[in-house]
Amino acid sequence: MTNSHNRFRVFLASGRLAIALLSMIALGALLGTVIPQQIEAEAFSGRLHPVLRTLFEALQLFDVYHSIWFVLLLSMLAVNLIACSLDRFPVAWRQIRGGLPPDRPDLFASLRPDRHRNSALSPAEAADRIETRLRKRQGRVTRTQTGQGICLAGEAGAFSRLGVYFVHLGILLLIAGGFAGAVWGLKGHVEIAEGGTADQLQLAGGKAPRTLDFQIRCDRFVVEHYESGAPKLFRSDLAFLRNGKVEMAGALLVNHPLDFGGLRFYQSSYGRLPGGRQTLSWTRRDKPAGGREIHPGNRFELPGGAGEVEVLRVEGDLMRMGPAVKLSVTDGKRAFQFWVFERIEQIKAANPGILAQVPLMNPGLFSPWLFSLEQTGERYFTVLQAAHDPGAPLVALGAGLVLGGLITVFFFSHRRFWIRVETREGGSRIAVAGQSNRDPAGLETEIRRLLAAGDAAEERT
Amino acid sequence: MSDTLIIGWTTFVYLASFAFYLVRMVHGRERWSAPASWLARIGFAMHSAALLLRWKNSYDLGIGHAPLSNFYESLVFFSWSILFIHLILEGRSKIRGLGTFLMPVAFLLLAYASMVPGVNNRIQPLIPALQSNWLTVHVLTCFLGYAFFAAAFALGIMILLKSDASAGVGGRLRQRIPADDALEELLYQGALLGFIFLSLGIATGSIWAHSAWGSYWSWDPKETWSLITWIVYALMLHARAVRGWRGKRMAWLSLFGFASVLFTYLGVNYLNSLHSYF
Ligand code: HEM
Repeated sequence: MTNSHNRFRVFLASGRLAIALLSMIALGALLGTVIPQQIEAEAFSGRLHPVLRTLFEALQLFDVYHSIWFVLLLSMLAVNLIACSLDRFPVAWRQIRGGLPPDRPDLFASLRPDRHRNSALSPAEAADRIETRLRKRQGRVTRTQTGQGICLAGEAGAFSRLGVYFVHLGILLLIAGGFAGAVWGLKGHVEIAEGGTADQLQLAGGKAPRTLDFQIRCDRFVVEHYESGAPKLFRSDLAFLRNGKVEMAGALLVNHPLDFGGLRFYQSSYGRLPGGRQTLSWTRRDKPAGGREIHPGNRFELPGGAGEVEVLRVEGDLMRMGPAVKLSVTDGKRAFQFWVFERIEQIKAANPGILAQVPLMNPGLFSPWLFSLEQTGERYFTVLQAAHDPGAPLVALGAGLVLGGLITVFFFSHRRFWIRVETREGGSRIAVAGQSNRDPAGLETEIRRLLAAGDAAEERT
Repeated sequence: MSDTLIIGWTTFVYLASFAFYLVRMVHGRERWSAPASWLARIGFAMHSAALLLRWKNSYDLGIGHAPLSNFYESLVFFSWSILFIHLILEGRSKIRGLGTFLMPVAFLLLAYASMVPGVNNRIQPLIPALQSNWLTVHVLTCFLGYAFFAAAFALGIMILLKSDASAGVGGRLRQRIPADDALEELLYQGALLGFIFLSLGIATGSIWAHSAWGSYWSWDPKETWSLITWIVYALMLHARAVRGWRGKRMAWLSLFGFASVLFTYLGVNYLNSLHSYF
C-alpha cells in the first residue's frame, strides 16, 4: 500500500471526519427547516432575487433532504462508520477476549495509600471473603498463590465494550433502511368517493399513476366533531375486492392503518363532493325571486333580464368553510365575481364584518339581488395514503441496536480488579487495584467494598 | 380544587425554593440548603398531585387521557421531569448547588404555562391524530430526555462558574460548587442518559408517525430539529470519548445542546410543522 493510500484510509476511519460529517449533516438538516421545501418553496422562490434563486436551485436548497449533497454526506458517514469500526473493532475484541492476568505488579508498584487496608483476619480467611464478594459481582475470578501472597483477579462487563459497535452498526442499518425505502419503496394516495371504487394509486413525485391488482371500495366515510368543533373521528369503511369478490373489509381510522395486497393504507384526508345536487336560489329586495339546480359552466338569465349569471366553479369544501360556488354576474353595466357559501350565516357569525372586508365572499354584491346555496344528497370522499416501505424492518432493527447499544454503554462498564493479600503481624494486609473503561465513581465504590470485605470489623456490610 | 390552581401555587413554591438555593450559594451558608430542598420536595408533591388530578378530571369529563397532549400539559410535565431528576440527583450525589441552576428552569416553565395568556390550560379532547398510546410513551420519553439535558445544562453552568476566576460573586460562590471531577462525571452521565431518552423519544415518535401518517420519518421541522439535537449530543459524547474533551469544553457543549433542545421544543413553533399543536 502506498503512503498516500494509507493516509486516505486513516482519514476515512478518523473520528475527526465523523465529527465533521455529523456537523455538516446537522447544518444541512437545519437549512431544510429554515428554507421552505418542495411545494412550499414555489411561492418563496418567486420572491427571491433571480441570482439567489438560481444559486438556491443549483445547490438543491429547495429539496435539501433529497439533494445529491445530503445523500452524499449520509453515504460518507456510512463509509466512515464502516472504516472506523474495521479499524477499531479488532482492538476492542482483544480487550474483550484478552484474558485476565492473575497479577499486575505494575499497578501495585504505584498504588495509592487509600487502596490498602489492614485486617485482623488471616490472609487465607480475608482472601476467602474477598473472593466471595468478587464472585458475587464479577464474572470471571482467579486465585493464585505467589511470593507476594495470595493474588485474586476478577473481571466483569467486558461485553460492554461492544455497546458502541452496536450503536454504530445500528446507525448503518438506519441509513441503509432509509435508502432502501427511498429506492424500492412506494408512496401514493387514492381518492374514493363514498359508494365508489378505485384501483389507481397516484404516486408521489409526479410519477405516472399505478393500477393496483385489486379494487378498494369506500362504503361510508364518517366524520365526527367534539362540541368545541375540533375533529373527533375520521373513519372510512372500506372493502378490498379482487375479481369482484370482497377479500377483506374493515374500518380505517387515523392511527389504525389497514394492510392489503402488500400495501399499508392510512386515513389521510377527506372532502365533500359536490356530487349531490346544488341548488342556487336568489331573492330581490328580500323577496324570493327564483332558484335552480346548477352545475359548473351553467349560464342563465335573472328574471326580467336583470342580469346574466355564469357558474364558474363548484367546490365541496372551500378553505374549510364548506360548500361554495363562484358566480360571475353582469347586467352589461356592472360585472361582479363572488363566492356563495352554503354556510354564510355561520361564517358571518364567526367573522363579524367579513363581507365588508372581503367583497369576494359577499353573496349580495350584485345588489339588490342576494344569492344563497343549498345542497341536497351531499357525499364525502376519502383520501387514503398508501405505502410500501421495504426499508422499515431494517430501520426498526437499526433503532433497536442503537438503543440496546446505548443502554449497554450507560449501564455497564468493563471492570477488572486485582487483589493482593499479604501476611502481616496480627493479621493481613490487603491491597486492591482496579481498572474500568468508564464510571470511575462506580469503580471507586467497588474498591471500597472489596477492601471492607476482607476485614472482620466490617462483616455486616 | 382545580389542577391549574395547584400548578399556580407550585410555581411560587419553586420560586421560593430557588430563592433559598440562591441565598445559600451567594452567602455561602449551608443552613439555607435545608429549606430550599424541602420547598422543592413540597412543590414536587403538589406538582405530582396536580398531574394526577388533571388526569382524573379528564376522565370525569369523558375524554380521559394522560395529561400530555397539549402545549400547557407539556410545559407542566417538562417542569415536573426536571424536579424529578433534580431530587434524585440531589439525594444521590449530595451536590446541593444544582438547585440554584435547575429550579429557575423548572420555575420558568411553570410560570410560562400559568401566566402567558396564549397558553390554553383547558383539558382538551384528543384529535384523531393524537388518539394513540404512543403519544403517551413518546411525550414521556422526550421530556425525560429534555430534563436530563436540563440537568447537564445546569452542571455545565456550574463548571463554567467554578472555572471562571473572575466570576462576579467571587471566591465564596466558587467554594460552594463542588470539585470539577464530580460535576464533570455527572454532566457526562446526564448527557448520555438524556441521549438515551431522546433516542427512545425519536424512536417512539417514528413508530407513532408510522401508524398515523404512513411514514416513520417525513423531515417535518420538529422531527428534523430533534435529529439536530440528537447529533449535537452525539458530537458531545464523541468529543469526550474520541478526542478526550473534558471540563469547560464539555460545559459549553452542554449549553449549546440545551439551546438546541429549547429550539426543538419551542422555536419550531415558528416554523410550520405537523407538530404545531404543541
Ligand atoms: C461515522 C461516524 C462515526 C464514527 C467514526 C464514530 C466513532 C466512534 C468512536 C471511535 C467511538 C469511541 C469508541 C470507544 O470508546 O472505544 C465512538 C463512541 C460513540 N459513538 Fe460513534 N462514531 C460515529 C458516528 C456515531 C453516531 C452518528 C452516533 C450517534 C448518534 C454515535 C454514537 C456513539 C456513542 C453513543 C459513543 C459512546 C460514547 C461514549 O463512550 O460515551 N457515533 N464513536
